[in-house]
Amino acid sequence: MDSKRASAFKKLELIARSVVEGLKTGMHKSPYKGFAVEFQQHRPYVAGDDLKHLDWKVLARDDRYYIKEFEEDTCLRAYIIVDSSGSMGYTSKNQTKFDLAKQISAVLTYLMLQQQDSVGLMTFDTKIRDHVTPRSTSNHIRYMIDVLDATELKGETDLGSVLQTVAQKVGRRSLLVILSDFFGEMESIEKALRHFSHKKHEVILFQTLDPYEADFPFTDLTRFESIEQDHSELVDPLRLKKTYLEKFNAHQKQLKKACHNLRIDFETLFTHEPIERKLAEYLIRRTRR
Amino acid sequence: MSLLAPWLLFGAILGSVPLILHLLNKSKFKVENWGAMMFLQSAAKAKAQRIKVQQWLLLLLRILFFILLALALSRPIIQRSEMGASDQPTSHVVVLDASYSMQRNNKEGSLFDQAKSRLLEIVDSMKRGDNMSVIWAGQRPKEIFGELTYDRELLRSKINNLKAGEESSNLTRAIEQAFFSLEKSTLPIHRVYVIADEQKNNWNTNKTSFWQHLKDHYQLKKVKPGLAFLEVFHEDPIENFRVIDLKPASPIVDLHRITQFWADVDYEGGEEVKTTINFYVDGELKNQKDLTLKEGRQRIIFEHRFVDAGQHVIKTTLGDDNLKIDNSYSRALTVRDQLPILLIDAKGPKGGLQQGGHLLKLALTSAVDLGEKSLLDVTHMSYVDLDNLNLEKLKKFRSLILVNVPSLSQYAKFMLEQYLANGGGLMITMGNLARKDDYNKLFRGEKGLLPAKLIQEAKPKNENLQPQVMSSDKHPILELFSNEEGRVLNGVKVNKFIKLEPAKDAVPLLSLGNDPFVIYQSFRKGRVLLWSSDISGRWGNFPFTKDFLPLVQNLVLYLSASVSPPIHLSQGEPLIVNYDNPEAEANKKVQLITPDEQTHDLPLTFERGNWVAHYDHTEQAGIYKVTHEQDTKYFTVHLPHSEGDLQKLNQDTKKFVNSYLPFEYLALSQDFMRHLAEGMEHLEIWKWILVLAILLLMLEGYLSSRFSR
Repeated sequence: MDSKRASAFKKLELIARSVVEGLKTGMHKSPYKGFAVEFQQHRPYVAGDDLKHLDWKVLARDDRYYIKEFEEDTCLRAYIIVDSSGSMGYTSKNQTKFDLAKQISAVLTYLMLQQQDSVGLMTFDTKIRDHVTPRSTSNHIRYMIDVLDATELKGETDLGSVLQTVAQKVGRRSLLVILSDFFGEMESIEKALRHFSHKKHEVILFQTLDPYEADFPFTDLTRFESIEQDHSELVDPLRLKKTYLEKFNAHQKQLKKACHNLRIDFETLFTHEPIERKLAEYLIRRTRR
Repeated sequence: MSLLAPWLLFGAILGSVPLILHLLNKSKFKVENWGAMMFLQSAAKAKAQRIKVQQWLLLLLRILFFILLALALSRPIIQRSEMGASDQPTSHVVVLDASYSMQRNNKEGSLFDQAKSRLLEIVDSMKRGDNMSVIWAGQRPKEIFGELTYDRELLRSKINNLKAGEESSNLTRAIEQAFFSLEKSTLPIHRVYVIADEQKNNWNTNKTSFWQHLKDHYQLKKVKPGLAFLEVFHEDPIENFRVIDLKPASPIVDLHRITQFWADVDYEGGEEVKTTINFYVDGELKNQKDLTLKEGRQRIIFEHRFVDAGQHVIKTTLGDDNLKIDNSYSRALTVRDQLPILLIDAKGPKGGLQQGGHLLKLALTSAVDLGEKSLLDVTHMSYVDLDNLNLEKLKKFRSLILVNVPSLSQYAKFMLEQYLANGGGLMITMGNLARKDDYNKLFRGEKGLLPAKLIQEAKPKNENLQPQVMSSDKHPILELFSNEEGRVLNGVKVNKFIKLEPAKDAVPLLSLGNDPFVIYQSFRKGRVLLWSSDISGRWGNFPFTKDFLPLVQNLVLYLSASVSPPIHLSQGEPLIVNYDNPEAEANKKVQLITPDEQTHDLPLTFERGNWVAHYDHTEQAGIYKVTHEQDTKYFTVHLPHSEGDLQKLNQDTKKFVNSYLPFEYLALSQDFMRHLAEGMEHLEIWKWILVLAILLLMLEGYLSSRFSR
């Protein structure tokens, strides 16, 4: 790893650690509880099994020795799914939306690896581009960050279609953390989210936005050139602002409503806001449930 | 609608400025790489049509603003009839051309009768509640009825009795009079019609300051009248001959010489024309000549010798043409038996005449060209005796000559001024005794009687320099030398003279190099001559040369010829007749017979030492005979020369007039009645258009900010 990348990685690692440590010091409960696993089935005891998993109730009832078998031998299986379409490259002043998504990915990966969960990665635009199989080794974070760093932002977004593919691809129940701006057709996104819910996946949506996209503060005559397509619009922003914000806010509202109905966590983070605080607040809220 | 200042409409080009700015602005924009395109596109699509409409609306408002501004500045006017206002009570003022050119005939009869017919049609078109005034547009325009009248019968009756004028026409003054007449009107609609022939002269296009005055007057009117010029056409080509002047060749007409009379005839027309010219003295035909007239001016000479002194009338007539009134010319004149002249000089050492005075008296009373008897009766006096004279005695002399008089008392100076004010002539010669500083008191900074300030004695730069008759202006005095302009007086040597500083209006008659030598000016009703050298022979040999005698005789004749009060008058010039008889009683009258054989009794009033009768209505040209007891005097009034110039009104003149006042030009036979029905008053609407433009601007501002929200 060259020095630049090493420095970037160090920075991400620091952010991740600060969030996690913050959680530890500030919390009353272990974040573990937030990531529950489910009992699957019994199997007969064989010599050498961990007595921790012995089902003492069955022994008492039937005088038999059975071991509880859970869904996964390891704890949690999680996927971080990051939008790497062109629109994620937008920035007004600070960092890009993708940079923010990378930081969030790093924090969550660090946290889950600390908990010895396995974490995987997918990047997408109109289709899945990169797929990293979930691992739980401590070095895995480095690999994942490498992949994210190497990701070139390009192409359009076909969010709904890609999420449908993810839903089909991820066989076992998993935790799916989707990082995107969610600029796509609502109906298709909603359909994908319902699919996740049907397959019993736990889904968290982190929306990364630039403040200019939410405020539309432009005043002068501007030609807006699409980052994703070969298209532009020459407009007087003052005349358009009201209608733009109406459309944008309506989309946000629909998104939130859809997540609420499907009991999916939805968080919006802006590129100009400090990630540590916002992420920590979310995680604390989550553990208190 | 029409425009008073159409060239300003080019300002509407400024209406393209918003469009240009709009297009320029479209090329200046920022560029933003944008991620949330789906919302922007959706919003743009939703608003696109609306934004387009808004932008076009604002652009249209901005363009309209400039167009309306340019339109307002170009001063549009609309006819009131376009607003349906022609049925409201109306004040009509008609300016009727009273000039004698209206006496011409065309196929339909005399132009004046046609003008009267049109005037009666205007009267017939009057509605209930309308009123009218008629301005007689002569030299001094006047309202025929005194004021606006509602009485149509009175109008018809008076108009029918009108006869063509014999004056020239001052249409500009008449239009001003029409505006003043309308000041008294309380009716909502005002109209001014000018009925005249197409004579260009009547419009005084050289008097731009007066036209500006008319324009300002019109602008200030609350109710702006409709203005129409109803032309009376004379389609035939212009062909007119006329007598411009008839005058004696010499300034004095006397019994002792055959007098030449000059008749100046002017002809305007394409081809030669033959006619006869007659010469009358006191009504009796004395001479007749056949004439072939070509385009331009011609002088015909008659000769006559009078046998009786006193007032006489000469007259010349031509044959008939379309305009007869200017084919004759009369002139009253006074034939002299003797001209009493007073010669004043400084007394000689032994009390006798000085040499200069003696020589001058000799020259004036010489028998050359005067027949057997001398016309000039010279009385000699010393200057010190001048103070013993009073004005009454002085007035007996036609001219005074001061020869090398040293100085004049204050009384003498005062009397000289009064003498000149009564029409006398004065000649002053210099010499060794004449005191410049005393004479310069008569100069009084150009306000006095002296034609020039006396500077200092001087010698000619070149001893061979000889006096020369001035050629820059032909002056009546020097018609004697009229064929010899610039003629040098050969053999005359001048050793010394007084350098002069002429007054502004003084006329140098003879010069010595660059210096005026003999100089002339009018002073009140009299004439003054200043001879800047000595005439005794001390300062040169002029008195001993052949030119001296005819020169001084003609100079003195000219000085003596001014007639006060004048007997040959211009139209409108007051006729004043003086009687010196102090015994005359105040209730005595004089009888005046005008050229149309009308008799008027004029009262005598005592003014400034004289009994005087006045008559101001000298509009008719011709002979006026004034009789008081056994005394008969004649006066003549001549036609104005300019009125005989029948050059027609052209497009340039119409454009000139319309640059000041919005006249409509109507041919009588065509649009006249229609315009009477429709009305032709104009309303200036620039204020309304300006208000509309400002409202548009305010609307643009409001919508602009509204659309931006």
